[in-house]
Amino acid sequence: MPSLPDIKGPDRNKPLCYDPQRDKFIYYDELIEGTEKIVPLETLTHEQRKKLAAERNRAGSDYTAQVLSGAAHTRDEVTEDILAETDFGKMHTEADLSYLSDLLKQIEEAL
Amino acid sequence: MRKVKVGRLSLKEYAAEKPISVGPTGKLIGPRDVARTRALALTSLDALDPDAKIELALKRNRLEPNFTLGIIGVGLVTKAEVIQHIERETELGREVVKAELNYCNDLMQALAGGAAPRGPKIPKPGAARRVPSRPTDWRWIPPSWWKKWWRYFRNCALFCENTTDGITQSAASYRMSNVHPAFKKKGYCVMLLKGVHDVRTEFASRAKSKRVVYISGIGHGSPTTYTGHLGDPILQVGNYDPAEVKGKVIHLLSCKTAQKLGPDVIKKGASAYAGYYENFTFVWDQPGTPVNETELFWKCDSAFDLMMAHGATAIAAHNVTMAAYKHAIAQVPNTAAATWLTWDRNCFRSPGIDAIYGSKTAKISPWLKHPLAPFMEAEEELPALVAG
Repeated sequence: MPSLPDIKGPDRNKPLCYDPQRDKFIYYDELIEGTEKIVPLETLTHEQRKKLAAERNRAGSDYTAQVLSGAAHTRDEVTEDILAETDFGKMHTEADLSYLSDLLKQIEEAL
Repeated sequence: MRKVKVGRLSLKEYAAEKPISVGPTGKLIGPRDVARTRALALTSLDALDPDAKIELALKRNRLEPNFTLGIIGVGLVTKAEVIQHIERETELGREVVKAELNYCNDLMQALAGGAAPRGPKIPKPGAARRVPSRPTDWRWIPPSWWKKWWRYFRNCALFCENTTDGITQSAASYRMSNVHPAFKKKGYCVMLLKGVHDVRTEFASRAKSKRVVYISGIGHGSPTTYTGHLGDPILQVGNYDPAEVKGKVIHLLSCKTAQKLGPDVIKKGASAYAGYYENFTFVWDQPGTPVNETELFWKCDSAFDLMMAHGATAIAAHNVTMAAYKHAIAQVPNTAAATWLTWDRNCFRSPGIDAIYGSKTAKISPWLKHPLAPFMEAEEELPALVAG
């Protein structure tokens, strides 16, 4: 049986889902405690996906991302990129939601 | 000292009594509680408020039998002194609290059976022998002759590592310490282009050699071009001799070369290509975290090289690379590093993804194979010498 991920520190405060009906972000602890359910990413609109990616980025631990053949981006810059939908921002949103999709699948299977 | 079984672990009797976490009601809980109720392990002690962290560390130390810590640069510290340091929140006290919490986090995972997935098995080559044993194709050569001339039977791996750029340097160092030695130990002759030598003129002359069976490196890239020192185009669509790639396996740690350059080298005769379709993106190491985030990226990518060095097929190397990414992602859940490792994994291309990247069964060997001959370079020079 798959195990639940061991999410630590500020990264535990990153929302894993967004419920547009209630305009509410859903967190890891709420999912494992059973107080909230997974809202599939596929049901979100473009704007809602962007909102989720930006909030995840804002809430997580600090970091600097480096494109091998490009610029370094601090966490705050990445948030701005996501909201402004720059090329890097779009790339980040795609990367993060792709990872999130895998993570939610893992959590769903482990619960 | 007597040991007791708690969950899957065997703990010393007093250790089984030491608290390892704080329960939902704020009460300290021990290993038995966590082993009984797996959900109790689904918390991170890093999220506790500072007072609870101190209380947990104090209780753990009080229940420990007498001890003395030896700390380099500080000296000996007794149990009573450690407890005082924690209570007074000195620098040492804070370090002790941090160490206790880190350990408790790990212990909870072990008790809950939720350890991260194991990493893929990447074979480690043994120490290189001074004179390697004769490979199957060359068993007919007398041992005394082999002992003298074995170096001439070797194939080569050609590495182009961009060491002069602040961004690629970290990966280049990792690769030179971890990838190149694996090829050497397997018997390959390793050709290294680094520094100002990582340029096209140096590359082209070496790559044409039939002995070069593997080409790899870290460098900036674009859909059509893999570059070296100061952006010098090492391999560029429409700008190289097919002999530079024919029959070779090529693995490039760079951005976007899977878009055009990868399929192009296959069309020109390379047996397999591996690289990235989009921008390869990594996260710089965050000091203070237990994992070196940057190194995780280099480690995942180099799984392909290590498997090829060991004689695996391109598809086997691909599968192990995917497993290496999966393992790395599980080590840093819900972090920016996990996000970008997922991205890079998804952008990785090789024959395991599509035939435009070559043959799944492509593999390399450290030794020449018939009809190539050990002194082929000299033989090729002969007509010119005779004519001259």
